[in-house]
Amino acid sequence: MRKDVYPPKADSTLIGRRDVLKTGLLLGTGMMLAGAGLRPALADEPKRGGTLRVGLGAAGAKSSLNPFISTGDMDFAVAQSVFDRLTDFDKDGNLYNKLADDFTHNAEGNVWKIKLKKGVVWHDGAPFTAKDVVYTIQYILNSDNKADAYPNLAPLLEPKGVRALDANTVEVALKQPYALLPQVLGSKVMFLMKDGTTDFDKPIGTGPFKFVSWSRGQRVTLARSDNYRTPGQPYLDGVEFIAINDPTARMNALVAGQVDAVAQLDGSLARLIEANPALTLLRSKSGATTDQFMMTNLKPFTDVRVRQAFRLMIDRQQLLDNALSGYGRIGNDLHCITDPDYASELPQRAYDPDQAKSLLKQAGFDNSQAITLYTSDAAPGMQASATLIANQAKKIGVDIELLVVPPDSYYSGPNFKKTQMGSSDWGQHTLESQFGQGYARGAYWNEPDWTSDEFDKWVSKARTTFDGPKRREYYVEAQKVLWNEGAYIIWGFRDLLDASSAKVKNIVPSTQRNLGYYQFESVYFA
Amino acid sequence: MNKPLLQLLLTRITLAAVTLFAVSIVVFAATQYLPGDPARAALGAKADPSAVEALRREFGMDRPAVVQYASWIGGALTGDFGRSIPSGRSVWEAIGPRAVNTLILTVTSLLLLIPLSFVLGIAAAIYKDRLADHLISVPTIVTVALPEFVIGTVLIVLFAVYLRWLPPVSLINDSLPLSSQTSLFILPVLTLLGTTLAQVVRMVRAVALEVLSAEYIYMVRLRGISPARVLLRHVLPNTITPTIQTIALNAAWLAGGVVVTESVFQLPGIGSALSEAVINRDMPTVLAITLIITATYVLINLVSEALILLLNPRLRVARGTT
Repeated sequence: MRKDVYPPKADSTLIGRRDVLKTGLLLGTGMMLAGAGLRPALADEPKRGGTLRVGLGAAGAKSSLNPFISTGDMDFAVAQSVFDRLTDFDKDGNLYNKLADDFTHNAEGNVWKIKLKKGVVWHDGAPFTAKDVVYTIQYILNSDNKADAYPNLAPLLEPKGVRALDANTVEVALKQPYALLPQVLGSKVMFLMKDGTTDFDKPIGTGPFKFVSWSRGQRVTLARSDNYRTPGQPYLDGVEFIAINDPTARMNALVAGQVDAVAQLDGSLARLIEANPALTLLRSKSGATTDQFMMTNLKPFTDVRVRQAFRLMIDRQQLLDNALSGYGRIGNDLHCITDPDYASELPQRAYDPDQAKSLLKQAGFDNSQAITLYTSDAAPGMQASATLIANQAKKIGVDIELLVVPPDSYYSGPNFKKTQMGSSDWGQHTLESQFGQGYARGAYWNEPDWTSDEFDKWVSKARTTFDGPKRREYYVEAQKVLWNEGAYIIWGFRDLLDASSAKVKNIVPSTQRNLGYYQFESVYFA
Repeated sequence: MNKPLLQLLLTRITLAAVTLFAVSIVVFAATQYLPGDPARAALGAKADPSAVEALRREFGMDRPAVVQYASWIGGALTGDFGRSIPSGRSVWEAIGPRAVNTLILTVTSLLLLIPLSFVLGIAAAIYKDRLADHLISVPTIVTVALPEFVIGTVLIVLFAVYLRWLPPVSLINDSLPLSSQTSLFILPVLTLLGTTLAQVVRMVRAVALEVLSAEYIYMVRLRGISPARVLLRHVLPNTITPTIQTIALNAAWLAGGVVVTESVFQLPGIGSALSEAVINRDMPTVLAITLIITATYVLINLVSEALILLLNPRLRVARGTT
C-alpha cells in the first residue's frame, strides 16, 4: 500500500560510496578496513523518500485545521508538522529558539525585543517577517478567536503592546515586568501564522511539511515542504495522519502494516511491541501525571498533618508497577519533573506507614469515618491507582471509599471537587504554566483549592527574576512549600508509549508529547 | 392498489410518524439527562469555565430544555437537523459521506444474507439430521449466540493477524474511489452476516421442513417431476412468505447493529459517528442518527408487511371480505 519507500533515485552519493567499497574490496585489506569503517556511516545515512503513515486518536467531527484550537492528537500532530513557534522545547524539556533568534529586554523587564531568524519562508514562498508575528499575537489576544493561548497571553499584554520595529524585530511591551516571556511563547498552542490569515481551510505554515488534503476527523495528508529552512530536510516525501481512535485497533493496524507508526499505546500492549522484532517501542519520559488530590476546604484535609500522612501511607512503587504497568517514574508530590527548574534536590518521599499513623494520631484523625475518593477511568491508571490507594490505606486502618463515575462525565460531573479526595491527571507542563493553571489562588483547576501566601510570594518573585539560577532558587523554594504542605498526592509520572515499524528511523522520544513531539523532519525509512 | 393494502399503509405511516416523534422526545430527554455537557466535551476536560459558558451560549444550550427541543424539532420538520456541536457544520454535511459507507456495508450484508440463508436453510432441511445439516446448523447456532464484537475480534485474529489476508482496521480513504478499497469492507460484512445468518437459516430450515413434508409436495413427487423442479417451483416459493418477517427483523437489526461493528473495525460510518457524537455530547448529531436508524427500522417493517400481504392472496382476500 505504501508508495515507493525506496525510490531508485534515493541518493546518488550513496551509490558512489558503495562503488568505493567494491573497489576497496578489490584493492586489498587496507582498503577493506577503510570500507568497514564506512559501513556504520552508510547505515546511519538518512534516505530520502517514503510517506510516513501515522495512526493516532482524533477528535472526529470536532476536528479542525485551526492550530490555535487543539482538540485531539491528530490536530496537534498536523499543527506540529505545518507550523512553528518562536521558541520550543527540546526532547529533554529545555527551551531553545525556533523562529526567534534572540530575546532582549529593558532594565525593568517589561519591554522585550525579539529578533527573528532570517531566511525562513512560508509554504507559499513569502518570507517570514515581524508582521506575521505581530498578526499572530494580536489574533490570539482577540478573545473572539477563542485561541487556546488566549489565557496564557491576555494577562501579559494588550494587543497594541506588540509591534514590528523592522522586518526582523518585534517589540513586545508587557503590562508589567515578566521574565518568562520566551518560555510562554513556546507553549503548545503558540503557533505562528502568516499575516492576514483569516481561515485555515488550507493552512500555510513555515514547518517541514505542507498541507495537501484532509477528510475531517479521519485523515490528513501532508507533503514535504521544498523551502524548509534545514537543507535536505525533511527526508520523507510526506506524512499521512490516519484517525484510529481505539488503542487496540491502532496496534492491529501497525502489526498488519496499515500504518508505520502509532501514538498512545496502553502499557499492557507495550509488552507485545517489545516482544516483536519488526516493531519498535518508543518510550518517552514525560512530565504527565495521574494523581490524587485532597480538598483543603473539607475535613480532615484542612489539617496539614493529615495531608502529610496520606502522602506517606502510599506505596509509590506498587502504584507505578500496577497502575502504569511499570511504564513511568515515581513522583515526589511535585508536578513538572521535566522542567529544568523542577526541585530534583528535594528528598524522595518514602513509603512510611508508621509515620503516617503517628501523624494521623497527632491530628486526632477519626478512623471510623470513611474518606470519599472520587475517581474514574478518565486517564491511564486513574481508577487503578485510586483502588490501590484505598487498599494501601486499609493497612493503617484508614477507610477510603471510592466514588466511581464514567470517564466522559468525570471532570464535568457534579461531584468533582465536592468530595474529600479526587483523582486528576495533568499533561506535560512547565512549572510556570502548571502554577498558573493548577496552583493559582482562585483558579478553577486549582483542584484541591490549596493556597499559601509563602508559595505565592516565591512564585511572583521568580516571575520577575531575570537571572536564571536565581529564578531557579525561588522556584525551588516554592516547591519546598508544596512538598511540605501541598494537597496533591503525585505518586508517579507516566511514560508516553508509542510504537513504529522497525523500518522507521529517528523518531526521537521527547518529554513533550508522543512520537517525538510529532516532529518528523529528520525521520526516514531505513 | 387494493383497499386493505392502502388502509394498512395509511395506518402504518401514521404510526411510523408517531413512533419517530416519540423516539425524538425520548432521545432528546436522554441527552439532557446524560451527565457531562457538549461544551466541556468540546473544549477538553480541563477547559476554562468561562470558555465553557461562552460555547454553551453560542449553541443555545443555556436555554430551557423545552425551548431547545422545540427549536430543534421545528428545524427537523423542514429537513434542517441543526448544526453539529462544536464544529458548527450542518449535521447532514457531517454524516452524509459516512452514511454512504454504512449503506454499502448493510446493503451488501443483506444481499448476501438472503440467498445464502435460503440455500443453506433448504439444504439443511433436505439433508435433515445428516452431516450437511450438522455442518450448517452447528456453526450458525454458535455464531447467533455471540455478540458482534466477539465475532469481529475472532475474524480479525484469524484473517488479519494469522492469515494476513485482510486488513484488521477499515481505514477508508475518502480521496480514493471506494471501489479500490473493497477489502476494507469484507471483515465488517462477514461480522454482520455472522450475527444475522443463523436466525434466518434456522427459520428457512424449519419452514422448508414443513413444506417438504406437506401432502402437495408428496403429490408433486408422485407425478415424477424432477427434484430440482420440485425445489425451485414448489419448495422455494412456499418458504419465502413465512421467512419475510424474519429477514425484515434482521435487516432492521442491521440498521442498528452497524454501530458496534463499525466501532470494532473503526469504519467511518454513521454507527461510529453515533458513538463519537455520544462521547462528544453532540446532541443534534445524536438525534439525527437515532432518527435515521429508527426510520429505517420502521420502514423495513412496513415494507415487509406490505410484501407479506401482496404475496399471500389468502390474507388479502380474507381481510377484504370481512
